[in-house]
Amino acid sequence: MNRSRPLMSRSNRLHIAQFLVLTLVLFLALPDRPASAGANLIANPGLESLAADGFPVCWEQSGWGANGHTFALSTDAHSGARSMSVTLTTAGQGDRKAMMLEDTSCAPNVTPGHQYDLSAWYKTTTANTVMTVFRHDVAQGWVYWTDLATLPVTTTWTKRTVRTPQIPANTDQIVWGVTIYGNGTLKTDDYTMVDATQTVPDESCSAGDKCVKGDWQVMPFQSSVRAIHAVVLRNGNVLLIAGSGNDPAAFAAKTFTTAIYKPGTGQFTAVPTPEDLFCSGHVQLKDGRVLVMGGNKDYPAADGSHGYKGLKNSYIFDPATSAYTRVNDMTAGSWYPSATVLGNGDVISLGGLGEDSHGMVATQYFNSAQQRWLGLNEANQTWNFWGLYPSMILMQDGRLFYTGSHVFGNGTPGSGASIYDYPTSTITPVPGLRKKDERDQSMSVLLPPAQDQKVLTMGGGNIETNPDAHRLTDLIDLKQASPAYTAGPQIPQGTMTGGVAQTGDQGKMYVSAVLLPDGKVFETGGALHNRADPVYEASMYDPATNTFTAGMATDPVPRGYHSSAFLLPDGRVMAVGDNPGNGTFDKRVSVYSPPYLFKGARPQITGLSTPNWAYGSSNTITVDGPILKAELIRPAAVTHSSDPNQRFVDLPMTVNGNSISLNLTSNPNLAPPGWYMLFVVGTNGVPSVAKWVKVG
Amino acid sequence: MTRTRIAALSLAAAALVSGATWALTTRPAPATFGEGRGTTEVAAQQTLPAGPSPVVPSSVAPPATEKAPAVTEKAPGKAGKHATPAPFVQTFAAQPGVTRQKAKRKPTAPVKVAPTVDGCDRNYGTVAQCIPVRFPEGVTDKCAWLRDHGYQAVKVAAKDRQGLDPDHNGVICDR
Ligand SMILES: [Cu+2]
Repeated sequence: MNRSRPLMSRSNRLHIAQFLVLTLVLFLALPDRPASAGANLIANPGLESLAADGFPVCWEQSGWGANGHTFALSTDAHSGARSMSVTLTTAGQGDRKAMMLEDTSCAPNVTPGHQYDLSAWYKTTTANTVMTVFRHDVAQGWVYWTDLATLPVTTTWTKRTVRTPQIPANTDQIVWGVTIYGNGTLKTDDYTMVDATQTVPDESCSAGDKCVKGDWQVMPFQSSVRAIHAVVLRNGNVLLIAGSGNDPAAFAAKTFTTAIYKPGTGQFTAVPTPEDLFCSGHVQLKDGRVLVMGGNKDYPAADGSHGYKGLKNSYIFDPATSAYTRVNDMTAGSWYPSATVLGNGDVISLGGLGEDSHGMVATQYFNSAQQRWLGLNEANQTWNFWGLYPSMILMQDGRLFYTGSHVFGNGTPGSGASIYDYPTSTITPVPGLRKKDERDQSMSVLLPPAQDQKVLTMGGGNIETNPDAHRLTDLIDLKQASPAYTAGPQIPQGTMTGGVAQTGDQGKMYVSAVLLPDGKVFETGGALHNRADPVYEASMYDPATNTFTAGMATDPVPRGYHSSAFLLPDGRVMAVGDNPGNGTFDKRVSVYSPPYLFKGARPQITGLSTPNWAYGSSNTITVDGPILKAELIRPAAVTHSSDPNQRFVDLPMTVNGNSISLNLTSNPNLAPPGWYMLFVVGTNGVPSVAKWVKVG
Repeated sequence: MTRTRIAALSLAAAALVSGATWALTTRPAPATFGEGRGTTEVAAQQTLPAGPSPVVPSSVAPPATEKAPAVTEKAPGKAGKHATPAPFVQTFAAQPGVTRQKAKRKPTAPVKVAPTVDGCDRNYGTVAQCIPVRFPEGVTDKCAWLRDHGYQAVKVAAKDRQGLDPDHNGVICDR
């Protein structure tokens, strides 16, 4: 028929070429687009639009406290016509910040699990600044979430970018601002917030069961000592203290033992042990030496004339010399004393039995600067009896939270948990702990991250009344105005001797809980009764979801009385000890590799700008690939299911390719001074091996 | 074809660059007034009404100059990048309405703790061993329980409080 027209006109060709080019450009450009090129989620980010009240649209004046302050718009802007200027003149209590409005229209929407890079241009005359984030919880409304980073003093416009942790579940919006809490002027401008979520590599795990359960290995050697006390040292070795090791024959012969265990080589080195440090307390000082306090002055008499007697002696173990050095005596004998390091590096020890084998009621205070125990009248006293190995966890404001976890018998009178304020010598009860008289050899942990100020108390029994140990857990959020324990999920059940399954309410005492570098808590070991009936069960608790994952691999070795489990710097968990009522002691060592060790290559920390980290500082590391998060974990100092100093401090990241600056909190109570294990976690969920960092 | 593509690509790139340049250049120019311009900035500042929180109102003057801010923190001259921030502490867990227990009097008598604090009956065995003061609920045959739990040749150390040595030979559960 008709001769067809040319297939394409010139203009057609041009259109198609344009289309192709555009497609190509988009195709080429999109995958390379860095995450930071995403849309800015902040409304009125440059503070240019003003509302009727003269304040920038979608922003509000926020803060509290009786401080003289001024909010002002400044023409000294990073861009546009104005910046926000906040001035404090009589700073004391409280703070001020320009905040994004907590409303559905202004607050940026977020996706749980995602991470966001928050940036602001700023100038400040005071270093007392911090980026603070609030989140909108679909159930609770607006709540404080976390603090990200200190903004150092600068007179020129400086951009600060910090990546949030993964957005918690049930969060649909966040708002944030830069807080000023010292005298000075802080100017901010040009805020941005972009989705910085990294893709999770699609890696398949080929290790079978180990991919989900992890794997235990019983070492082909035994501990050279009865490992009743375990302290991870700043060089990665483990101090295992036995003293007489609950062996009265050794006590009579004055055979007191300690060993240094080297996880890398499986070697044990004996350490001369000056006294019976069985039943002592221990904690790392800020220089990495270990303060050991009290111990066993005498075993009980068969005729009931006296019980265990507390030792007054105290020693410092130095990892550099592998030796104990005596310091001055404590003010009272201490058998089963607690030991908590404070934000200033001092140590408070409470509870235990005195030289008279009765309740030790003094507050014993070790002054770090003077390297000595203060006298009875030099320390503030409440004369309260805290019981044995009371779990005293340092709160972010410097008070101590007595979790109710303790050793032997009933809990303390009242609600069984409380907050102790050392400076004022006051104690306030905390409600809600269930079965407070069956929390003997339960375990409490400050959940990851420490910034969340949540404590979980797990299991427990009572060696005196000897009921079946229970499986209750109670959770408390110490950020609440009136914190109270609320019921947590039950500990999963395991099997007993002979493979008999646990039933009903049966749980465990002598339980161990270990904070892992991926932010979960590994719960392992334990037994049902007073020095009898080991429970073979291990589970993974996830603080983000408040759930236990049951069915982790179980330690084949019973881990009841005088057992401990703790994190090694390589990300594995080591378990030691078991001392059943028949008087035997199991010296086998088992090591658990969590599932993350079977899931792919470990991220490498290839560089560390400095191992000495100041509070509120930003410290640069280099890594070999994308990182999900970074944190500091305080090395263990554990005995009798008690390690109140165990903590996981989140390090918000400022990401610049493989160079990452890690922002350390300005608050020493969140990360008391001392040596910490620095871990990074790859986007595949696999943690690095730790590098050692000295905080404070 | 390839040449066309390259040409088209370069064209697109050029367009993008010019577009970006255009976009960038049309951004409002950053207000760079420089430092140390005396009180002009204060004049330019528009003090905003204080927020809803109880505050010291506008009686508090803003800093006179950028160079001499109303800051009396430690070593203002050295307040460079290394100025250490004060700890940022939150006011959580204030426990409003909860009565604070004040310090007690120093006790004159000991706070008694039973010698059986560890739940072991010291009438039996060595101190290394632990015959429970109270056996787990449901245990009817204590000797069978002890046998099942690996206790061997346990002697009566003091009194046979729990009646475990009916033949009075000083060794429990050996019938
Ligand atoms: Cu013990």
